[in-house]
Amino acid sequence: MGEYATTTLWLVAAVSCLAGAFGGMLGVGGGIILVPVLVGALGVPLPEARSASLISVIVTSLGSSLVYLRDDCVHLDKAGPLQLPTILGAILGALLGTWLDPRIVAVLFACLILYVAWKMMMQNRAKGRAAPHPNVWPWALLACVGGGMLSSLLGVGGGLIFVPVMALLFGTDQRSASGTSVFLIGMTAASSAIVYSRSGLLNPLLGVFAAGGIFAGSQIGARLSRVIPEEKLRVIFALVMVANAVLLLNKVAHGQV
Amino acid sequence: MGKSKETWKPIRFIIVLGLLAAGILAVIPGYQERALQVLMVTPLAVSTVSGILLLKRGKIGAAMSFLLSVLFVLGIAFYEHNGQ
Repeated sequence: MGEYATTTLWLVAAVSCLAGAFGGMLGVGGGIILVPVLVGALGVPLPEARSASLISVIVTSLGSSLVYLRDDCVHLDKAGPLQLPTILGAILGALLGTWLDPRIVAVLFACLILYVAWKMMMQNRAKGRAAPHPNVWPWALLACVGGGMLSSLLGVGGGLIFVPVMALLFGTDQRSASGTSVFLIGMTAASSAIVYSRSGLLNPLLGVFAAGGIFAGSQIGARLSRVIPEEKLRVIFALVMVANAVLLLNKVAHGQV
Repeated sequence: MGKSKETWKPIRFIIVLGLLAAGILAVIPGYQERALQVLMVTPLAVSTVSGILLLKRGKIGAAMSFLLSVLFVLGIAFYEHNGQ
């Protein structure tokens, strides 16, 4: 396991703070921002970055849930049945992640974040709340197994799956979808983090600095989500994602992952 | 709306407790690993309490999903622990 200079650890905390703020505002855990920056810009090995990210996803989830629960934006009755399939997927993904080549994971990650950036931009075009899907549960359960697997393999919480499932399939408003998603990703990330921790892929210091930074950021993000226009936020998020994907693919091309 | 907020108070209490405990442990040298363990266990506690609260409200399906997922994660942790 790698040793890190104090400066690097504080940089990790600063980056995590920004990732937490974005995550809190958009209802994703922040891992989608944190992992590529840790690997691409700070040179952290991907397995350690992924574990640290999962720890920070737990913190984002817990910190933001406090705000969303107070605002009554968490639909536990809808989200409850989705948790078990997501956890099953997450544990399968984590077991896969302990032996899969990090370069393959990095390329998958780059593809995922480019897809997310594109989806974010497309959502800006589609205005208004979606009507609930007529045959929602089979699709929702399938999406959650796949989402859980993908999230633990790549070190993200799964909010990328939960938010669209809540908003598009169940027809909830964006803030409730974010609140419910943020509440559920804590458990998804915890299940994967436990597997990685038991496999010796979790650096405690890296995890603590990432978690501290992201907690501060998530508190800011959940509050800012009430005032910042969602459309502007999506554009900024999409641009950051594209830059991250380029950075990550560059590292893979140079054999630095 | 207000009643719902009251119902979720135990969940918020567990979250605050978990974050506080992890925060305190994180700043004590040599206890960072314990802090992370507390963080990893907190969502399990939150899910357990959520399951119990939903059970009391009669939402059996949602409650069982929360409780079974906790049991499943604990099972995996126990299995991995014995495997080492």
